[in-house]
Amino acid sequence: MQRNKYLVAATVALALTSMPLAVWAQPKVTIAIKAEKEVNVTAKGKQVKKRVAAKGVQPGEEIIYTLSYVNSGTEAAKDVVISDPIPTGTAYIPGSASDADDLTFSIDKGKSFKKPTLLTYELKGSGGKMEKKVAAPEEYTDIRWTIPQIPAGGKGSVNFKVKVK
Amino acid sequence: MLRAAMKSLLALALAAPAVLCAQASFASTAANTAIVNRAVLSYNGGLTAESSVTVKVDLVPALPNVTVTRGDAAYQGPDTPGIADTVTITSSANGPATYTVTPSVTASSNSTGASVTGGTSVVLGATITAGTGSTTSIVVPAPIGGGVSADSEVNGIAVNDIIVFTINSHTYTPKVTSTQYNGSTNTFTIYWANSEAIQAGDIPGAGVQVGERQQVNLTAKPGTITTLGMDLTTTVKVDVTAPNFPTGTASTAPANKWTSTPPTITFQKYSRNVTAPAAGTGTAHYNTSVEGNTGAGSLPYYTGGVTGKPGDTIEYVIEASNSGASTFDLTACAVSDYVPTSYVTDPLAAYTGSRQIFYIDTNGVTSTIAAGAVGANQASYVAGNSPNLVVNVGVNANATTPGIIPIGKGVAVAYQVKIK
Repeated sequence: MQRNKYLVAATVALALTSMPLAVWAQPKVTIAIKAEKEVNVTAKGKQVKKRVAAKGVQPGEEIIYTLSYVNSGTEAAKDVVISDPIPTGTAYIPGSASDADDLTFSIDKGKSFKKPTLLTYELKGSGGKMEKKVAAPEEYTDIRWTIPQIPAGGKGSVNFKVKVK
Repeated sequence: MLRAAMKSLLALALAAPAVLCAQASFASTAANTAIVNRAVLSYNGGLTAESSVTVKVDLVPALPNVTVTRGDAAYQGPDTPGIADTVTITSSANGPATYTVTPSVTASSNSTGASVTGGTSVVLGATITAGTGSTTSIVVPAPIGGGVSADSEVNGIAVNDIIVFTINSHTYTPKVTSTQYNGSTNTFTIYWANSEAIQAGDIPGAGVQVGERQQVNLTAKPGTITTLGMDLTTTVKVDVTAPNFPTGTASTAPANKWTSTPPTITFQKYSRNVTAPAAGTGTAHYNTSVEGNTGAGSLPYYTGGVTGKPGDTIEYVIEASNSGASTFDLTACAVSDYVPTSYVTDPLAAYTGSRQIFYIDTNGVTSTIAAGAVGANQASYVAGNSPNLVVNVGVNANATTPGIIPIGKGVAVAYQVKIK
């Protein structure tokens, strides 16, 4: 009987000890977007390009978007997907997206994502037959990065450029 | 698997037309448009995080289109009348801006002191379409910081503004009747009346520049005419500037023209034989004011001359009048004559006060004037001069200054000589 009591107490103690781990051991990922543009400045008599915050832009200028993420949780975040619609009034600049991670694009407003070479659609050709066309970069509507895992305390960033129409 | 692939292909095929439309209308974006980037990060099968950033589109300075009208008028006097010149300014920028209109006179002819007045500043709205409109509307971005209620200003475009846009080489200038905010797309629809509906084939898609048009009224003034009877011209140039905009926006109108009708002067010399009255040649003419002062009775004067013998007294009458065909007085008026002293004597002191000249002024008042040295009296006679007889006539005429014969008024000068 006394032995059973010790067993129950030990079990409860073990459960209490392990409970905080079960409750707090979660990933917590946040994301922040920064919009910048490049301007020409003169430094030591030479023209150099410098990135500044893009508060205002003119049509034809490029905006550099940097999406920074950080996992401030205590457990790795898995199956991370960053989806970003190409902003209205802009066009994606070919090859500008960082592709360290799995990078795909959409031409149907995020319904489906594929690698650029697989982004096709069909159009009726001059002979009346349907012809397959590969989408041009300025036709992309969304961009997506897939990151398998962000470890606890891990951080990183992805970026891309657009041209203001 | 095959079914899923077919579905995906169908979705892409359906999306294609919209994508192609956007590509075809690739163009500038309106100033003050909010470019919003909103990203979503998802993980662990359901957890998400979001972030967004907004960038504003700046104004792109562009030279406005400027035209200036000209006009015609009849010159009536110094700076009268002014001619209204209308400056029409149309924005070609992607957003609103304040334009300063500065007129100047670049050339004038037959006048001094030509000028132009009426420069001012105007705010012209402008935008770029962001969607497909209709025959009576356009769709434009809602500007950052602008009102989002109906009938509010949209990038400087408001109700009653005239907007200008060109589609398929057709330029339309409708008057805005209302604006409507579309919350789902953060755009405005700008409407105009059915009576100004555009062609169905010209319905604007995205990327069409739309600029407000305003007019500024100037007044061109001719200054003071140099030579009566010749036309005057004044050429007006208008400079239009805006902060940070390219310089050199100017438009010069064809010259304004004022016509000037020359005064019509009636000028006739008559003669009669006072000593031996006889019919002369040409038209017979009476001047009772002179006749009564010669004792010759109501003898007519003749335009073609009269005959006489040596010793006969011949009386000449010279009449000058401003018939009023133009709107101008005759200025600097003097009557000059060449007394043929080889055949006749110097003018006789035949009139009251033993004076040589009988004068009737513009009010019909008669007087006599002694004709001596130049500058001594209103009339002068110097035998060696050519002309030898000069009489300053008209209003304000005096010994040294010729006078004015107003519209519809006249003067007369008479003198007598004896045939040698």
